[in-house]
Amino acid sequence: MIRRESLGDGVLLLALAAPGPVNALTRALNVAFAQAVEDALANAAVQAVVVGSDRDGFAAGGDLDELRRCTGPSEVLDVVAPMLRAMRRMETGGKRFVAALNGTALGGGLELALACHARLAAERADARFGLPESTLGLMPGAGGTQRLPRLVGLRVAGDLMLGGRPIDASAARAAGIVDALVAPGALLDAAKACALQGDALRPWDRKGFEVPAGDPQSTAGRRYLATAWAAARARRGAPDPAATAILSALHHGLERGIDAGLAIETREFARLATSEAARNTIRARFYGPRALAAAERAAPPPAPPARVALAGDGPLADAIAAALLRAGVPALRERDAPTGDPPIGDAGGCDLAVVALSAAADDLAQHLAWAIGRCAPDAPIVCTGAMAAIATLAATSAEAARAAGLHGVQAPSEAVHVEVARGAATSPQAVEAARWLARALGVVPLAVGDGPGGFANRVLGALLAEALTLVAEGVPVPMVENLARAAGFAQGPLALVARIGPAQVARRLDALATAARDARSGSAARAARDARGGRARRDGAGVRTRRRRPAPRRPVARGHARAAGRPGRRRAARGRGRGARLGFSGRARRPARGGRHRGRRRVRRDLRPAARGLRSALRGAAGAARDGCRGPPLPRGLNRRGDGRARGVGLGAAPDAAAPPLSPPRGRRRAAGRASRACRSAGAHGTPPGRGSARRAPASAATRAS
Amino acid sequence: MPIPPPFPAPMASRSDAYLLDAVRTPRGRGRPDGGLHTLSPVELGAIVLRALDARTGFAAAGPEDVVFGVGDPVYDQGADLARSAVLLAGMPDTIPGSVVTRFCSSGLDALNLAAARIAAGQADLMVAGGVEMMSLIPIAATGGPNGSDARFNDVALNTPLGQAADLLATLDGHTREDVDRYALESQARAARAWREARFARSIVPVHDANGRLLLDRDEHPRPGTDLASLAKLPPAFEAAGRAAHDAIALQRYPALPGVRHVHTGGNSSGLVDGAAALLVGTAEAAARLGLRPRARVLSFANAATDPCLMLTAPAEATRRCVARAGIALHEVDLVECNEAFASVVLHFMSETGIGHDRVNVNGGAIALGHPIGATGAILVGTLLDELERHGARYGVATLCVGLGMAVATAIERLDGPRA
Repeated sequence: MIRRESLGDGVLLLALAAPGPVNALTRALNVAFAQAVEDALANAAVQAVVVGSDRDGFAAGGDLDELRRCTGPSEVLDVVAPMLRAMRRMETGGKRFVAALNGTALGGGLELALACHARLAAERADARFGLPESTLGLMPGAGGTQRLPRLVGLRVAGDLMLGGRPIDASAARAAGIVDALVAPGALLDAAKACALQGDALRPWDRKGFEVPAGDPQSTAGRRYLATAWAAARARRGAPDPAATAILSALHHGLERGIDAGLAIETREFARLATSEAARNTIRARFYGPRALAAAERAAPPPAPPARVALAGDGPLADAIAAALLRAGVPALRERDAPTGDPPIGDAGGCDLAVVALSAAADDLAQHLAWAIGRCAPDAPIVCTGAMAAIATLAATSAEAARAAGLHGVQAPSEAVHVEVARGAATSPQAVEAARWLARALGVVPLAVGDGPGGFANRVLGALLAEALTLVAEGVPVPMVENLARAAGFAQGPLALVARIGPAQVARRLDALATAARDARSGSAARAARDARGGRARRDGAGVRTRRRRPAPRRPVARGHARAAGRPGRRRAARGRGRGARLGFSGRARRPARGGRHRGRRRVRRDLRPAARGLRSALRGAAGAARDGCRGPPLPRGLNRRGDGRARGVGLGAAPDAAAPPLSPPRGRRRAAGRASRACRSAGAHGTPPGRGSARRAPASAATRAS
Repeated sequence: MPIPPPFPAPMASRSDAYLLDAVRTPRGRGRPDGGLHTLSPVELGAIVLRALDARTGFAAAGPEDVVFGVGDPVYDQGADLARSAVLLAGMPDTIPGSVVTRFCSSGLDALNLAAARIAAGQADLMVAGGVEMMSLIPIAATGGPNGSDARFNDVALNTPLGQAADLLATLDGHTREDVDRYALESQARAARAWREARFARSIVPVHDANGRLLLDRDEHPRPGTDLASLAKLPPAFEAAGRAAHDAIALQRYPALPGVRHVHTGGNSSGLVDGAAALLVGTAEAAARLGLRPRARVLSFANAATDPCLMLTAPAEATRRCVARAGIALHEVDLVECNEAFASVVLHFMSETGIGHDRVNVNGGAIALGHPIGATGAILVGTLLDELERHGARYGVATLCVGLGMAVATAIERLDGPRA
């Protein structure tokens, strides 16, 4: 674990030599290192010590597995205590310890180096130094929160720990984390020379020590702590336990001596490491991705096909063709041989059919037919890019058994994971073929069950459907957004709807509604689609810029059925073509009516009041997310009732059940294109008194349809 | 030679606490060019105590305690400024002193403490007042967990004062014009009050040790203010809000799309230096001094609310205070509600239904300035003078306080020959 070597002149080298390519500070290593330190301090022949590494890097972090096994703070203390004691012994033992950083030192590795009297680093371009524990929801637990700020000041140390991003060697030198940069070959000699010069006292063990560049009780220090807390809290949308723990250890630890500070750090670390939040973060950011990649590596690699028939056109097909080229597999593209059936014996021999559709193209059947025609009878088929579920494929062709879906491929490929969707009847060969294609694209395949749009879309669809339904029911748009962010979503669902585009969202929710007979998705889809519909728009001068298309007349009864969220009947009735049977929303490809309705969607009469304003509300939400509410819409008072007198109750808490649900004002709006219209029209803040806007129940389809 | 005070006689368990007199210094600008900047806080305290003694002779009667409100009792304002001021003023060293601090309402808390001791029969004469020199000791110099303690911030959200004001404006729907109009009115009323010498009874001009006049009127007001000049000022709290605090406020108030920043230096309270002192005692103590009680301290109350929004408690404190006094809100003739920010008073007026004709009739802190520890006592003196000028009866002084508190005190002017 620790290799001892004499460098001459009484200098002992302790080289970290943990098993494996990286020195991780496991408990075994910590105990061995502590013992080595004691031996060196007791050995009269040793004047000074150089701490080095036999691996490519110096040392990186602690052992997360050990931490994960701890069930309570006392067990965490058991894990870290040996190294903490050893570090303090290094500092106070009377002999000088110098760290020879031959490479990357992260987390606990850097903390070990900080406990040495001096640090020399090799001038390597790929060496990184940092305390990245906060990226996993943890904090430095081996003295980093106490030693680093006492060396380089509160601000530099705080930024490094809160940001978690490692820095390179020259930046570390400039910040004062590393004392000197040395050529890699001369590192040990320089470290030996440094070990023989200078005394064996740390600055904070000297009398009259003051924390450099502002202690926490100075104005600058307090301002830094307050600003850092606020930035972390604003970024996170909720209390950030790791940032709070780090700032606590900095604030309270730096007001005291080093030993009290280390005790405070250990207390914060033990509390954080056993917290639910940290466990979840570590699982999501570390163990999850690692297990996924390991499982994929462990699985036997699928056999590559000899030749691929690639149907479809567009950027997705191009990306797949490029991947096939990289993999050295010849591909026959549909656009090169689009028509006519070549003799089977001639161009046959493709043993994988890939159908790659772009979003707009939807004649899956035609591409499928072409691809099948080029392949051997039992060749697997991989469909990607299509919204159609593999199950619907089964309705049309017997080839369902050899078809697998690949969802989530983007061109250019940004995804890390794609989904391999298999239906009930899908053969293993099809799944293997899809896995091979995923690997060729450089992404990790996940096996999921079949469904429209893919697993990710189903998950996302549930979220967006809920958000849209909330708005349609009258919950203010900002409330949905802010509460979603407070719950931990990186951005609000309605901003996401605006970004994806209400039309696209509506299509996906339609597909979900059809497949899952999910009323909620269906009504949410309508809300999204209607938001995109042809509302009259006015520019700043109040001039209409787009004409409103009148809605077709429909019997009231059917409108009620739709409002009740039963989507199937209408779609199944219309669209006799293959597209309809494949489950595609018939509306997208209905033949355009004549005149000014050519090619455009029609707007239905039975609009919900809030949904009508959803488009501008979405614009407002996206705009607010973009520029942080410059001059935001002014509510005319959450508390104002009737006579304009404010209610006292309700300001003390977030507007809650005491405030009745707000629905949007109807009728006349002010002509100017102010952003305020967005939130007002979505009923954000209540109706100003005297505007004559009565509150309506959301389900007013009957009234609106007339 | 100091006259020893009479041995306190046993008292009834409850006595009325009477306001016997009120003095205050003019408020100097809270900047290095301010008129009072060259004095020290203990000197300022001594000046106001000597002025009160010159008018009432309380020092010879031996008050039980001198209680000063000091918002940031640190550095030169630290270590029991009241006792230090008593000694520096050359008063009998048999007079103790103590300091009470509750941020902006410290002066009113000092009065409440004095009145409570008298009403409880544990004192018959007290001095209550306040001192603050914001040109010397910056606001929030005391430190404390708010801001630097991350765990505390997670609970209380560490909303800066101006951010809370803008949040209140957003929730209540106050526009920039609303708050600027209020500020304009405050300036106009303050100018009128000075023009008509409405403060003449209470203001004591401040001289230095050589007798040179340092200040004899409030320095902060800008009489020539108009809406246009107010509109030109940039929102003072927008940068901090954009950086982080708007997002944090939305976590607490998720129905808001954002925070509208309307407060500027022109419609927020001014940072100034100032001091005030009030003499409070029983009827017997007043008689011994030959003073006619000017008012009775009827009641006082506290209230507290959400520390993120912070500025909405004065209405509740006022309601409790008048209820305790046994009167109704509509019977209150005059209210002094500290103008920490324009939104505070706008919200107070709409919540209590007390109109601007009864609130801050002589202007307020926007025009005149807000020396944190002293303002409470200053407001009571202003209130008393105006009640006497009108011949009105009931008055309430109230202030909002950081971390979501408020204090209110109700006084009743006593009939008698007008001053």
